[in-house]
Amino acid sequence: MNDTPLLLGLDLGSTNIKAVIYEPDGTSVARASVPCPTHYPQAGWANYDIEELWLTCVDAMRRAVSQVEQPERIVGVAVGSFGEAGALLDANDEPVAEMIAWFDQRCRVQYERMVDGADPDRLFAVTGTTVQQIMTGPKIMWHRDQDPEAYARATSWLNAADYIAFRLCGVKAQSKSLASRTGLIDLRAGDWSDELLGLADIDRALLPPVLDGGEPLGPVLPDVQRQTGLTDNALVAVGGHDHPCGAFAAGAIRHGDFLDSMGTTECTFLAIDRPLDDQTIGRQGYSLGAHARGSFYMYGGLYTAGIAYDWFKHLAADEVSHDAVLASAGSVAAGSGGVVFIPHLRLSNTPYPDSRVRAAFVGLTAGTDTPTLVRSVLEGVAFEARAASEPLFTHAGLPVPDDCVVVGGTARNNLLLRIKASVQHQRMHVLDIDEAGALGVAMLAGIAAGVYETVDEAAAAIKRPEHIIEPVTADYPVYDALFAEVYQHMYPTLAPFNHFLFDHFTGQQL
Amino acid sequence: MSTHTPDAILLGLDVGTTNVKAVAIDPSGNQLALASRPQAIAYPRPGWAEHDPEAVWTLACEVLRDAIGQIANSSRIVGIAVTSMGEAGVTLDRDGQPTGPLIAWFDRRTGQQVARFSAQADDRRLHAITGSPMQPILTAAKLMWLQDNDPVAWNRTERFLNVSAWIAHRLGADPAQDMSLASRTGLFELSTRRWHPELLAAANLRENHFGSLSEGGTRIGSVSRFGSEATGLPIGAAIGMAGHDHVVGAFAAGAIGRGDAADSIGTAEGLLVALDAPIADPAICETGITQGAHVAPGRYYALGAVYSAGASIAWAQRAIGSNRPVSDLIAEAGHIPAGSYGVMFVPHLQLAMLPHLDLEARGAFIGLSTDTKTAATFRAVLEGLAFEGRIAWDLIARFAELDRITDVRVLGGTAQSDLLVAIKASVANAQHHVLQLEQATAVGAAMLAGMAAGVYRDADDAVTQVHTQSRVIEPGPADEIATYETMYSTVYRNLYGALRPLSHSLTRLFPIESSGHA
Repeated sequence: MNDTPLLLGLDLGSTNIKAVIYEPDGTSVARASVPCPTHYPQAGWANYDIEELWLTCVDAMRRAVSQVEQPERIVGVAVGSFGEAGALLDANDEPVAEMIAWFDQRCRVQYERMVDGADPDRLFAVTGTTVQQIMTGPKIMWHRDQDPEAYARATSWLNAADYIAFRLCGVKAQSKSLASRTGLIDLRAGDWSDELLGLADIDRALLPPVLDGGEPLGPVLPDVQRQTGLTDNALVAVGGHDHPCGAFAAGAIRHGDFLDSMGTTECTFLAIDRPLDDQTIGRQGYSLGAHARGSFYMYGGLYTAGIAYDWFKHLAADEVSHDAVLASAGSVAAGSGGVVFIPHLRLSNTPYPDSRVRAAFVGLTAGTDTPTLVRSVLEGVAFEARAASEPLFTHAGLPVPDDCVVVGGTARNNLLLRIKASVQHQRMHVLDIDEAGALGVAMLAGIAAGVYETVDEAAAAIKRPEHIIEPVTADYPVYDALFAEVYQHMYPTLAPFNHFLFDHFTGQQL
Repeated sequence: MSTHTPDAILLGLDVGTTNVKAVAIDPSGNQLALASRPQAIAYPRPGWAEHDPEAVWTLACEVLRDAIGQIANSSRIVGIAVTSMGEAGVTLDRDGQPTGPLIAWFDRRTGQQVARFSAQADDRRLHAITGSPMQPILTAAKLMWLQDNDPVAWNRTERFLNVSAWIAHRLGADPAQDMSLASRTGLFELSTRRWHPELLAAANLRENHFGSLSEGGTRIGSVSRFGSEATGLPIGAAIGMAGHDHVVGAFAAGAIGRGDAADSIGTAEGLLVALDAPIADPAICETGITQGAHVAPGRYYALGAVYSAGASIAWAQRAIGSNRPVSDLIAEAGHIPAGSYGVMFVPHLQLAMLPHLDLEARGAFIGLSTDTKTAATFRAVLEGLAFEGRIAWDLIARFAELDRITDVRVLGGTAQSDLLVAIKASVANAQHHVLQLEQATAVGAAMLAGMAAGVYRDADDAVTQVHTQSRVIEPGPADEIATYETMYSTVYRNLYGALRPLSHSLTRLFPIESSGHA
């Protein structure tokens, strides 16, 4: 008989819904991944059918649980999800509308009405983030504008992960990390802000209490036990937002821990012990938020990271294999002969939040060939990540660390990692974690179930296999010179031209 | 004195950097013979390039013999003129033998001499007097190099002749100096069409180091027995004064009247506007526009250049076009709407000549987004070349107080470049006439020979009598013209200045390798 307790983490991602079952040291013993059913009723819109979403979660959990010989060993369950999406429920807890996807663009009018006349610095001071049109206030306002009768029946709103947790155990709570992405909470107080609710004209009664991740909610409901194979032993806990939960799994939980999640986009994440007050942080587009449990974080990031390489390879070297493209780019000397790329292919990034931008190559010469351009794209992504992450440390009053923990899909691109290491003067620790988002919520479930006593104990219990990519110190001078003398000037130099080109041409290509 | 000579045959010889060509035409411009041989060039050191003068002469003779051999009755040849590349010529002793190397026009060996010359004639003043800024390629600097580096050879040197005048001299002409090539010496005063005494003194040169100044189309002699034996030209045929190849090509295109524009598209591109007086505003010296004496007597020209024109298209084919055929890339670019979805290209891949000469400039792509695909970037390259050309037209029109340029004669255009020309037509909002004149430079020389032989009354008569077929490419619809106008005035015109500090930093960190010019 094996009596090692197991923990189930369910992670709702934009692409897939994943259920993974872990041992307390983070070793996964069962997993299932099911595509997240998404509906696109019109351009710029995206919906989830709430019942379909729940049934998909059940399906993923059932498949994972069925791989475990003694499901009664599963002592904890928690749910994580994308932010900025939620369910509006009536008194019988039936959905009164579809769930609008986090990235949906329909709520611009409501957003503008909500922030009209508000001081952005004040909003940042309260919420820790720039209030955006994808956040909860404008989404609830949209439902009210669209169908006032249905809205009149609504009695509660739950973020996606919190709604699934409610379906598991019948207890409503808002995870603090997801609540901090609604744009409606007072980050310091850890509770709903009457000031922000007032701007959106939302009744506080609509919003269940805010709880930290890892707080116990209750056992799995009998019906759900039958549907999923979970047993009475499984305690449902408050989960949270996928980004901070993934950072928790990667060990970035104590003040000053830094994590770089490299994917199509890239997130630079710094754990901090208290919210910071400097308004510059908000003006530069950085956000503060509630961490998985008990502490805070500050993050910035790149809207185009790994996708920049995919884009350029498709444009200039579609017929060539990735290995061959990267090998030839790897043989180009650091600095790409003075060709510099700025990867603002769809939005600009911290510290220059600007939606009206475009990417550029400068420094082209007759000798610039395809491998040189590919390398300059990778170097541009690394320069941009350096530009986005350095202010995090400045704002937190911390030195830039010598080590950088990285996770994510693009972390398999060794040339990019080597360039990044040299551009950032850091040793890259590439973690091999099986679904960091799911593991993070499983760890929260473990805290609720008593598998771990504390956050620190949970973080310390996890085994994280890693490999290290060393920087090329000989490349520091050339990268430092390019960064300081050229890269840092590119955004302001190009901004006026980009604003014109963006306004004049965006949308023409659709 | 119009001589009606329909049977007359005129020869034009074009001594270029890569090829030496000869054409024979009748007075209406119909081509009767064409011969061409590749030119030899040596690169003895980095930055140096030379031709062997005797080999050039031998090649010229071979090409002429070949062309003349294609003509049934060579006794009908009544005139010849020779055109050649810019700042290149031969130093000769009193017996007419070369005393030094024939330094190629683009050779850059003269750094020290340029510094010394600049010390005595500052750049702005030189530009204002001669129409060109100080450059290492100027003839004055090359002659100073010989003075400094081979004083023995210099002491034996009696005269310098540009390649065209030197070949003409060997054929039997008097030693002569045409004014279009004089404009490339750094010593010639445009306003008076005379040597400038102070500039001559600054370069330690005298007027009689050069042939006698002659306008284009002047008869500078007749083919001698020696010249005839060497080439097959009839003894006594008129030798006409031609000159600088670019200008002679524009002459063939008929760009001789005030405001006539010719766009010569090749690896590099020259955008020339004929003028009846040089631009006097000294502010022209702040721009990359150069001026010179036309081969049409008494006329002038202003010229803007794009160093990497065809070169940019070839570069894009390699760097972003996966080396697919240019014709395919252009065909796909033709399906992209005007403006390339906001992608823009700056073609300063080697250096900028517009709006200023800038050896440290670099190229750029801006306006890229995740939706950007190869075809849009390729179209953006063509549009970048058109915007760059528009800078030349605008600068020249403004300084010369011309109305907008409304018609452009296109030389070097091919069916493949039709999209480029169509974009240029919309960007400049000007009708473009693609001339079917493949050997424009040699034909222009033959026309100047015709003036010398009395076949044409004068330059205007020559241009009127020579009929060149052309295809007209009109500007696109109004919305396309408007799109380009906004992109040009809002972005392109300001882009070079904005990118300049970035480009200069990059060039300092990564010096641009000197190009081969092979």
